[in-house]
Amino acid sequence: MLNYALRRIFMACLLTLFVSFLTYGLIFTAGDPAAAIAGSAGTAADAENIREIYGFDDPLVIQYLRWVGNVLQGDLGNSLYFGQPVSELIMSRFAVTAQVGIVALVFAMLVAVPLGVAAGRWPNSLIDRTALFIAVVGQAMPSFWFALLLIILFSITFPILPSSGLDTWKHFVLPVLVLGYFSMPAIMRLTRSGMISALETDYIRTARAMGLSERRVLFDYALRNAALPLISLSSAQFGFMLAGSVVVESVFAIPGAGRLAWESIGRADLPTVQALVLCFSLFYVLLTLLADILNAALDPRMRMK
Amino acid sequence: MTETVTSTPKAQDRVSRRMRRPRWMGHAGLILGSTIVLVCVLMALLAPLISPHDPYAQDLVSRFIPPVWHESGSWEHVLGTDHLGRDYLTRLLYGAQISLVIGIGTAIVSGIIGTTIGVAAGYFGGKIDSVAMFIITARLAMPVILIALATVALFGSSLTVVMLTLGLLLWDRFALVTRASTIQLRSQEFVTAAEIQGASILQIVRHEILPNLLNNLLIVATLEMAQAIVLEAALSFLGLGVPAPLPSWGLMISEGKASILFEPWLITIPGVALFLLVLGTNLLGDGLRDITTPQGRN
Amino acid sequence: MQMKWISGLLAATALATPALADKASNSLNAAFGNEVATLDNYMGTGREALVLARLLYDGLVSKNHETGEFMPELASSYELVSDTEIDFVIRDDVKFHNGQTLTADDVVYTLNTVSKPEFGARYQIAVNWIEKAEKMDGNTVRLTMKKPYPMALEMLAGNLPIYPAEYYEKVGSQGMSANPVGTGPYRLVSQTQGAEFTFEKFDDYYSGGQKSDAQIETLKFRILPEQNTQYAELLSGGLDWIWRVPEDDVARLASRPGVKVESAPVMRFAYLAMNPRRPDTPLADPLVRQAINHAINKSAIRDNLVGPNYALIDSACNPLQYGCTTDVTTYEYDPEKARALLEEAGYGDGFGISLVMSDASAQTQAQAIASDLGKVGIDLEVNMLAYAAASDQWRNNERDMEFTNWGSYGIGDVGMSVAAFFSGTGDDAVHDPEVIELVSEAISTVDQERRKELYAEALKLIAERAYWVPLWTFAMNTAMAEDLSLLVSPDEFVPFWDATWN
Repeated sequence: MLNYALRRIFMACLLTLFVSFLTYGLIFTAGDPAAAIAGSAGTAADAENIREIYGFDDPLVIQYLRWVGNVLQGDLGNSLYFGQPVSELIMSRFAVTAQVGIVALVFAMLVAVPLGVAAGRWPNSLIDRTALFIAVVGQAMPSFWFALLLIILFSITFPILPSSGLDTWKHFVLPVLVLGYFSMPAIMRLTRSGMISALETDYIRTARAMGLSERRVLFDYALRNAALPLISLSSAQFGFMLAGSVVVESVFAIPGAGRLAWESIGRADLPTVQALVLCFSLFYVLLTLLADILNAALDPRMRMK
Repeated sequence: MTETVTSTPKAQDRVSRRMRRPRWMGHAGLILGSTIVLVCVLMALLAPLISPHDPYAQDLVSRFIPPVWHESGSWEHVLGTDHLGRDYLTRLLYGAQISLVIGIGTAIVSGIIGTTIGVAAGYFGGKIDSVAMFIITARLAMPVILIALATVALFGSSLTVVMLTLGLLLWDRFALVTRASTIQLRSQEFVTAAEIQGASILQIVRHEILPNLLNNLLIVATLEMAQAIVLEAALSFLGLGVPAPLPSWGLMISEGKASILFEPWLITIPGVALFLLVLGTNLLGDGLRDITTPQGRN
Repeated sequence: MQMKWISGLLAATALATPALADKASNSLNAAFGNEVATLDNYMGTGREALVLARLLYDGLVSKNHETGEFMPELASSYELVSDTEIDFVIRDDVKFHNGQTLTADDVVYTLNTVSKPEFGARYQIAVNWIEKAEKMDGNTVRLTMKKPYPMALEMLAGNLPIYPAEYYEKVGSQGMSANPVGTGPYRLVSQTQGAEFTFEKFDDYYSGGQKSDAQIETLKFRILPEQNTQYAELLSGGLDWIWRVPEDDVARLASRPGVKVESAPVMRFAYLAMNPRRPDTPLADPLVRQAINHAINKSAIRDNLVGPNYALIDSACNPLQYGCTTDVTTYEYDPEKARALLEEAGYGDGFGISLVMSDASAQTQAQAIASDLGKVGIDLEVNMLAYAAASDQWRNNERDMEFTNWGSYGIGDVGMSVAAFFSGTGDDAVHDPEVIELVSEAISTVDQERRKELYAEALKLIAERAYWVPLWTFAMNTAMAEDLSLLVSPDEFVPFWDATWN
């Protein structure tokens, strides 16, 4: 068991390193970082000056290793755009994104899980079809459109909710709605199918035969089984969240990590992008790792592969 | 990611009355889905014949004309005009072509990539499987936006590039599904029999494994198609989608965003069209899955 | 359906006069669409960052846009001692936001520090002409230039703010951005990095400068990247002022109760640049370039897509700039003539070229330009990329044309436009030796008349050889609360210290 975990951890580190180096290369492919820093009012001479100061002319591998060296010493560098330490920048932005993201995920679960349970318990019924319909609608509408429609409805036509910022609880409503709405389909489908297969097992039949109440059958046994895949799902959802955050944070003017990622990539702010990608892939890899180890711990057959 | 797409042996064996979809219910979703998709295909095929105008013809004096049901609309432009004076109905019809091409093209590209990786991983197992899982996880851990941005910077913006980009971003589900199915199939008797008979790996894959995967591939393909179409709209929002002046619905939605307050039809019309197409494709995929699952496989 | 419904409701909803509350509390809520990277003026690269910097810091002199004169600011007087030396007498009644008094030492420190290349000032052109600054006696500072530099005073007027020596030495650029200390009419009271900035009037601001007597007590700036959100906030009263409003939305916003839209001409101008040096490019032939000029219906594009206040130009500069002659070859819209020229040049069958741009708001215009060129047989491929990628490709000669605009740092002198693009530097796509010779001489001449002559000759050549398609000058549209009085200056900076509530 330990062997397996160690192997997986090693792979995880390798993975993160690989992704990180790829990102570094991609940024250079996507444009000239020196020109990005100099800005659109800068001349070629300004860009050249900046290139010298930051060593962008050095071979890619050297630059990358320099960065890795710094990171291992705990220094994530300064943002080329803001001039402030990347660690502070990312922490403050992530705090904001996490706030909205967690509330959104909770909201999504509060709506999607019960729907999924009901849909799984009574497949092909009206509830099931309604739930599936909601799922598809959630996936079929571009999020920026949904966000803007909500703003038009609730900030302009009926001015009851603010359209930007995060000062009060009211400010959270619309962004959470938009972000949560797009996580709902996947969560709901997963819960539904998990429920369906779980409810088919001998295990459940026995529980029923023994006379356990329907509620106990559903929640104590079936849902617990369906819960495991949810962990794997949340790592994928996390990725979606970050991508979805870009839109939500742009439209609602929330200073979060999603927008920071998008803007930093666009202006080739290398240290910031590298640090963000590192955090993101680390988090993702850790989640997958956790899910894998959990699965392996519970199912010895998997470890054989 | 771990959505149950394939039928597991258990469900296969224990088909209860509850699971078997009453025929008329299954058909409803499937019929609705196929109808919608068919309509879109017809729109795409007939666009050159039934469009009143040229989708690229700009008329700078007739910008932002509202649709015919508005007081200042006219039958000249049934669905109004956009910010460059181009007829919206025409662009909507031609847009069907692009959305379908993107959907199908992406499904094919991601299908090829994903299936190759998935079958290789499932069939050979061991180190190859580990490498495949590594690649899959790496792809999921990479920021989507960066890949799209770099691709556009490297190859410019075009329909082909967008299909390639989307294909590179959406192959993971194909890989995971085919891998799971291949692992399952590999241990089945007919595969072992073929191996004993001395068939080459390529032959086995081609004759024994792939045909049995077709079912699931089709289902995943329809679902990925829907994903691709929506993702294209998201990429257009970021400026990384199909380049103007192509009449892609995703681009039209993105361009319409600037006018959402004052000329809302610009975003609503392609938005509804996109939504219907994605809905239809999803219903089609779901319907296919429901119809094929209870009957199981040989 | 949706349209009628929404506009009906919008009309019916009696939108209370926006910003009544702000007027009452004598504060102003403004929004920018672009981020503000830093409040250190020398490290800021976006216009918005520099606009905020003008609230915090002052320069030695400032330019009066009506008369063109350089007025005293931190320097009570100045004297051009020689071609390369200027003496400034520094005021003795100026306080920094932290209570310290401004001295000649601060001036010397600032000018010497920022002009070092290692300092890394983002806009080198603002600082690289300075040789040294030294304190002469008491409160006189002598500034020495490396070579005679005709735009010295222009640069000193706003682009070279004076920093407190001790403080900046201690906290550096990061500290300055987090807690700026300057001599400006407003001081920073709080900020959320990159999202929100609140300023308050600095009560100890000296009188006698162009920025004195600020009326509004509190200024609050928010970064709202989504234009629709800006409108939503403006219409609901959350905002009192936004700028960069696209022409299409001007009429609609202006028709809302409580909102007015103003337009002010600025130094920025738009143009199409052509690269005649790519291998086997049709653009090497001046006839082709002239044909392109004739093929584009600038007037129609301007009327329908850009705005009535954007004036068409024919020279490679903004007529507001000193030295920008308008007496150059003009190319009227004539697609027939364009075809004839292409035929003559041997390109009767047309050809394909690629264009790169990075301003998302100008995409519609690019489409219209492509359409015009298509009508004479030229297939224009438009590539919209992020700025870093676009400039990379243009500077590496990977594209045939560039569609962009240039603000000249707000400076009303062709030394900031023509010299930037036609002096053989990395931004010169053309490398025409005759033009380079003229411009290079002009760059180092201090005699204003002679400079004007040289630039005029250069501009004539540029137009004759059709290196560019000069398009139009910009007018900045601002939408604001009806009761607010605030106009954007021609240098595209915003004098918030002049804003008043009526």
